[in-house]
Amino acid sequence: MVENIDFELINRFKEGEEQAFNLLAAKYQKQVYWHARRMVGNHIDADDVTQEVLIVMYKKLKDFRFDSSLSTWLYKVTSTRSINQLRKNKVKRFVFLDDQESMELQGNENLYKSVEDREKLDRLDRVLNQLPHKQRQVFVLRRFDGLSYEEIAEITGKSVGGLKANYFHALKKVTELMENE
Amino acid sequence: MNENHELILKYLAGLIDDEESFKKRLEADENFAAEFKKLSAGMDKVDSFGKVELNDNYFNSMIPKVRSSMDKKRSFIGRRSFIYSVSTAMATVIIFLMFNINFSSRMHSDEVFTELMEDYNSEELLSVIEEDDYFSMFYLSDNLSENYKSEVSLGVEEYLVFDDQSSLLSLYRDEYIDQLSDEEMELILQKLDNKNFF
Repeated sequence: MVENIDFELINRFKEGEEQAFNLLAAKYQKQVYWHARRMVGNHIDADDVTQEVLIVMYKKLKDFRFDSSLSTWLYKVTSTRSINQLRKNKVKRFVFLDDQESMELQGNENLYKSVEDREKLDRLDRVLNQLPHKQRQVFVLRRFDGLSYEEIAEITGKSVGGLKANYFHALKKVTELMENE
Repeated sequence: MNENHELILKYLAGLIDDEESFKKRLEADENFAAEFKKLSAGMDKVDSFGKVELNDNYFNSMIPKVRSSMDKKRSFIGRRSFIYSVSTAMATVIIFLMFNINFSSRMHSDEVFTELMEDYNSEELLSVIEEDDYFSMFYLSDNLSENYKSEVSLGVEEYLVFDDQSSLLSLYRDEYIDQLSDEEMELILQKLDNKNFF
């Protein structure tokens, strides 16, 4: 049903109806943002990734061939871009001694619905930031996005066995880290 | 982490072949069941950290922001090509530095900048700055007089020639890194990993 609606909206966009893109973007922007947010660990980068992904969606939608669902394709683009962002941040922090935390504090006072929400996300970031990128990816996709290993395999191009091993190591690390939270 | 914990996490990850035996033990062994409950509660706590909502204004403004960003990109596409080419050159210099600087001790960012900038003259840098959107907004605005523009231009040139360039260039530092290709980024990260910097 969901895919039928997407199919219809994508075809309407291909026929030149700009509003169809707005409907698709409105439908998927939260999925994209929250996946990016949990992957990159701060709002500023997640906001950048979300905008980039929606722009990529706009550009690529005309050639979309329905080889996978739009949702899976968006996870793939968001995940790849988020990992690239993490890698860039790693280099930036080394070369320019960037302070990630000070970045996060800029202009986000009204972003969260409550102080408690802000604190919960900070605690989650502290835990997830300790995971290697690939473990973080499978942990976020499985734990927060609720995807099956088969769906994650389609997104990451990794084998289900390898993903299970990655998830196990992520669980082990998160369990240890949670003892301090 | 004890043996039981490891077994429970393997079960949660779907790595246990004989799930039936695991479930039977869970029913029969109280201590094991308590450990399972404790670990599951830890995971539930992680899940609760993720259950957060943002103010609606943020998502309501997303599509207009994306549309505006696409429009802006279209109008600047010609002018941006120059800054991209210069930034790519800068990125190449960063890679060169990464491979050639002796990483026996961690360098301060200023030192990296200083070395980076030795390869660029002020004329090239001025061109980069003139291509920048923010600079364009203030400096190239039609509302400013020609005299004012040339004064600013002269000031920038003097700053580039006589002052410490690193602080001015720090405004553009993200551009340099953002222009790196995936392959270039991989090379840099490998190099830094090999040197145990992370």
